[in-house]
Amino acid sequence: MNDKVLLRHGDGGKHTNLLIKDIFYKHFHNDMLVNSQDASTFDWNYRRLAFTTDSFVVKPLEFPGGNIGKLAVCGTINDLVTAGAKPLYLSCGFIIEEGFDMKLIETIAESMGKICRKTGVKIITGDTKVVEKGSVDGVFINTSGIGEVQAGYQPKPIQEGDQIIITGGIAEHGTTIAVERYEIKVEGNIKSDCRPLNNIIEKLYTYLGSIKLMKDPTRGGLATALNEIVEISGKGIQLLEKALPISDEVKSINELLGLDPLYHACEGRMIIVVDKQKAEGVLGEIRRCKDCEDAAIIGSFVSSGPPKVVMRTVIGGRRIINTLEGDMLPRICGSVK
Amino acid sequence: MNKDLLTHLIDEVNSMVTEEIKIMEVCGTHTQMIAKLGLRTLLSSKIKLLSGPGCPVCVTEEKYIDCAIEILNKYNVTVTTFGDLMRVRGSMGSLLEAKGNGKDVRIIYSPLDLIEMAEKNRGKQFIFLGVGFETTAPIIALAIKTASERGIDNLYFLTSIKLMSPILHYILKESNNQIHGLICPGHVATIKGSDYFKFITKEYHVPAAVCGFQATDIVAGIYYLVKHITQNKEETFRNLYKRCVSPQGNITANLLIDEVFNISDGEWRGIGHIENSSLEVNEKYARYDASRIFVVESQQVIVSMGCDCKDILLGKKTPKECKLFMEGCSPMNPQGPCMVSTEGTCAIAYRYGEEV
Amino acid sequence: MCIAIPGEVIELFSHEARVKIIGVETTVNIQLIYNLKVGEHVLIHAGCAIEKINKSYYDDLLGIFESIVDGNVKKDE
Repeated sequence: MNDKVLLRHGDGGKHTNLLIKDIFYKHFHNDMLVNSQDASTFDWNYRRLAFTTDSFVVKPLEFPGGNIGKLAVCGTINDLVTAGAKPLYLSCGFIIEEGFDMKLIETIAESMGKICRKTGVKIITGDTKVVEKGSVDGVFINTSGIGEVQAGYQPKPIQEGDQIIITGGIAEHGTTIAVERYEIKVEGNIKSDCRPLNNIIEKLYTYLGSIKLMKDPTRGGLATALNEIVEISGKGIQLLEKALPISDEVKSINELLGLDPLYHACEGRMIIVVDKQKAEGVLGEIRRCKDCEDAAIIGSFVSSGPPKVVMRTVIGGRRIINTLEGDMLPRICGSVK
Repeated sequence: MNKDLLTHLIDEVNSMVTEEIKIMEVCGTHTQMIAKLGLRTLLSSKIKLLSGPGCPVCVTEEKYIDCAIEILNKYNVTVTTFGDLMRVRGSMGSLLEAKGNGKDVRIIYSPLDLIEMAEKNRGKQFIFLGVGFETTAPIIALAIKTASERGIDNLYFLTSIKLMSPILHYILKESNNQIHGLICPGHVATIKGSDYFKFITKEYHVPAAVCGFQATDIVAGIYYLVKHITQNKEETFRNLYKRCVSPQGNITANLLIDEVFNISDGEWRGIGHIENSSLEVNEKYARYDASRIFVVESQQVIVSMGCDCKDILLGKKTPKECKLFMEGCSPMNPQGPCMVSTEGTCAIAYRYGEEV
Repeated sequence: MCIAIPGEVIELFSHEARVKIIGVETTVNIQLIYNLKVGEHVLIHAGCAIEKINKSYYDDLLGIFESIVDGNVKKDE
């Protein structure tokens, strides 16, 4: 195999097949994929399906805790999880810039394969294109996913008193990316929280009847996701600052850079809105899952007042938390975002 | 931090207030911390916390941004900057937009990182946008001096460093006794010393306190000021940030500032021309001064017609009374510092639609 | 303006020091500080230590508050 991806690897013929066999089939291996058909087929038992798609164009391509491939597979699996679905099959499209490092493609594919084997999710179809230098920045990945909705789950109208749970520490992915992007020389236990969350949903099947909504706080962070929920539900949120799980590393790095953890992406966390009666039960189940020891109830819904996210600060004051507008940038001045 | 202690202190503050009190802070980080803590929701409505021109980026004149963009258009350079400056708009757009148009603009965390960057990329020319107050000035000075000592010939500095003391004099002269107390910026004081701010009390008879940035520090400052204002004690000045601030400040830092910079007049966005309010690179280090090396067409100083930031900063007017509020001035297209700063009076009014 | 945070010096070099902030470590320039020692605390702004922190004054401040609060509680009794 060459050490660089060349235009001919996208020719659709002999060289594309080499790339697909030597890298993608090798790492995504499953019985449905290696049939080399243009479309994969499977039987269905008429249960309700969830279907999602996402494209990943992020930089940097590699970061502590993962890479763009891992992000893609986990992101799509987690979107299915928010629909209460057991993730089953993924498609995967690669658009690769001519001259891209072949070893890195292999690293990316390997990570994706690992997550698939860990979760039982299969990549059963895909596409590979190689484009001229400058047409894309490195590599772009699209993943679509199909899952089977469990226990007849449906999002339900949110009511006053419904509790908001986060499944673990926030802002880890966004903070890790910021450190890489701005080349901040810090050392500590900081890595992306990128992980698949289907194991959590498996533990919660019996509670699905009391779960109103699930959302993963990716781009724009917890603040943006909560604002989106407020907009859908028409109800306000009361958030408790002291209940938010934030690691010391995340706190320190963001103070150094002048960034706000509330707006950093999380790639391995779920927001779960649940009926007040069942909240403690759900929290208990989540906390028993790996890496979810810091899961917490961070707030609740209210119907009085304008529909906004209002946070009770550590000193008992109140402040409104808005949606992120534009990317957060590091700064030396406290008052510019 | 002891929440009960703070709650007690805030209760004490509220019980002392009878008439309206206006306390101003002049530091973007104080502005942000006050907002972050939700302090205004805990204090009596009679206490008005005013946000002064304490954000160096927010008071950077459009001309400066235009100059940086002109340099990018005219010369083959890499412009490096603090993240703060990326979205601030001049008349030709922002640096973020320039970057989107293919210009080489990079965000850096420290100007000292540029030394290595310039050494490793001899083929490129780097310009650093040195914006800040007295806190950042010695660091920019250190970067310039280090570049000189190492003979680095591909690094330049376009500075817009502003000084706190002249703007405070201006505000206090203009304030017509509208400001009853002043929270002094703790990190400027770390460099310049607490004595640097004593004039506030000596010349203008306004109680002032040098404060740090934790909840305890800010509440302490407000407690101290409210106590002395309500007891009509004018001659009160206190350094409440002694753990970082000495009377004379950081001597090494000040020597560096004197070695590299001269004092000159400055243009403050939304306010205008203030004498001796700026630092510029002096003759000794002229070869590092981007404004001398990368000549562009002289930029017109834009004075926003109708921008009332001057009066809004002083609490004399509300945002809604400004002609431009929401009519040509918005967070996407801000005119003066009150809108540029996300915690500025106008930006907050715009976001929450409240009278501030 | 001027976001600055405290850190503890854990290692000294000629122009730089390794500092520990809660949970992480980083390297900062120390040319603005005179006579720095390991174990001391510094205030960090834009990659540079801008002053030493004298922790005793922090305890001092807390002490003042506690006495204000206690003093007032006593008044109410």
